[in-house]
Amino acid sequence: MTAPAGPMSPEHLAERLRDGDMRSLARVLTWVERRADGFETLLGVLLPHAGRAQLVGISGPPGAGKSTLIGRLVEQYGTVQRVAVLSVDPTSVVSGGALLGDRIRMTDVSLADNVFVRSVATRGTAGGLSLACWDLALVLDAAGYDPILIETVGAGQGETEVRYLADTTVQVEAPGLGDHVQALKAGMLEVSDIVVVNKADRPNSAQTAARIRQTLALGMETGLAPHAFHGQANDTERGWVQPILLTDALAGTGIDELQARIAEHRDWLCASGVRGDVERRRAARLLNLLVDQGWQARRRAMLEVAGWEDAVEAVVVREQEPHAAARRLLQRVFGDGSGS
Amino acid sequence: MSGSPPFRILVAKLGLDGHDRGAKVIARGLRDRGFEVIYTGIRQTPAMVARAALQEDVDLLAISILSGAHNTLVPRVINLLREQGQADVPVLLGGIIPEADRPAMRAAGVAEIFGPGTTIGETADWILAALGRDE
Repeated sequence: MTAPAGPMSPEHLAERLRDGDMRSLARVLTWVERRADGFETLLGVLLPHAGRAQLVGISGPPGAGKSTLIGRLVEQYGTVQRVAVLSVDPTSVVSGGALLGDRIRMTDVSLADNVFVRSVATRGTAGGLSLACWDLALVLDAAGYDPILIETVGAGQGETEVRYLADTTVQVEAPGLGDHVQALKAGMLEVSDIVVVNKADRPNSAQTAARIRQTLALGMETGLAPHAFHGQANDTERGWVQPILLTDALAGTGIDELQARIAEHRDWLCASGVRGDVERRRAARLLNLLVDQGWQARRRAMLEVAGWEDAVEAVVVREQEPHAAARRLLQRVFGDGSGS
Repeated sequence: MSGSPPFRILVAKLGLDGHDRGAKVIARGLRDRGFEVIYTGIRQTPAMVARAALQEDVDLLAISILSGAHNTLVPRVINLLREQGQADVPVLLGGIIPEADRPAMRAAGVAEIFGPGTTIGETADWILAALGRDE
């Protein structure tokens, strides 16, 4: 399958999407995810209709309750507006297949006509997102879904890619998943806009929230407040302090509060002017990812010519020190002193 | 299956029985053979299964059912698929389907029925053949 059935123009398809035709939307998502012929033209047609939705990234370790929480959020949003979920699960590096199981936690909402849930496999992209997610989010945005909730793979320490795609990031933690040192490390916690401690029915949930609060407060003292990257003023100085919320997704408690905070963050993004920064950051990141992808394909061929196999062999037999071998390869590729 | 995008398969537990060991083994086994498998979880209604197949734009639907309600539920799913423009999605049936019921299931549009004892390999090979791609 490449394009949706029928001799339908991209303009016509775009119209069908905005009319809420789920079949067309589902097929366009497949088309775009597979990067089948004509997908760039289609994205170009959809582009002017996108840019309205709030993209909300939901991250957290496996088992924290992300899917259940999203199910609850969708239940609430779905009564008044069209809401979409992109749910990302990992692709097996061995088989290339994937088991996508997040719908299991969202069955209560699966029949609402305002709700669209799509499962996505990472297909070899690192960072907790699939590269296709950027395009898929654009399609859902153009189709009129708002917000779009993006559930990353079970993650939290290294998988922070979603912060570039999303307007708002929610980090979901749960009690009992690690000691105090885990909270002191790094990861999504320090770059998320909202922190949720789910499974609040558990006895040590308040303690977990307190530890997270301490860690984040320590970050403030040492000047590492959230979003203090790219040399910009951090978000705290511009008026956003990460709320730490307690939820019990199974019972449905704390969901109203989370929904309110997500809306509040959107309002703050607009009022503070940070939204412009977010959009610039998002655009630059996507361009960077796409250029990198093309670059890597060409890089391989250039390195072959520069003597890749010999270099590997020299490192294997310990004849060359790896850093020096890498530098020599780069020098041969660029014919200069780069790579030092 | 390298080079081309993986096929997407919905594994659905239709009806009220909660015995999904078989469905989970199939889901994991097909994942190991390179498919992207979306698993619905247990106790799905025909409408829920059809909606998931629609939104996920799957290439194939594999239904697992052990409760004996297949005669009622499976044709409903297939009718919904047709109504929503997915008549071309092959439907596989697994679980406990008595021999006497099989002709009716096939007449309703089920492409193939796999009972206990079927290996993952047989199922995967059948799917690849049905979807027109050899490994």
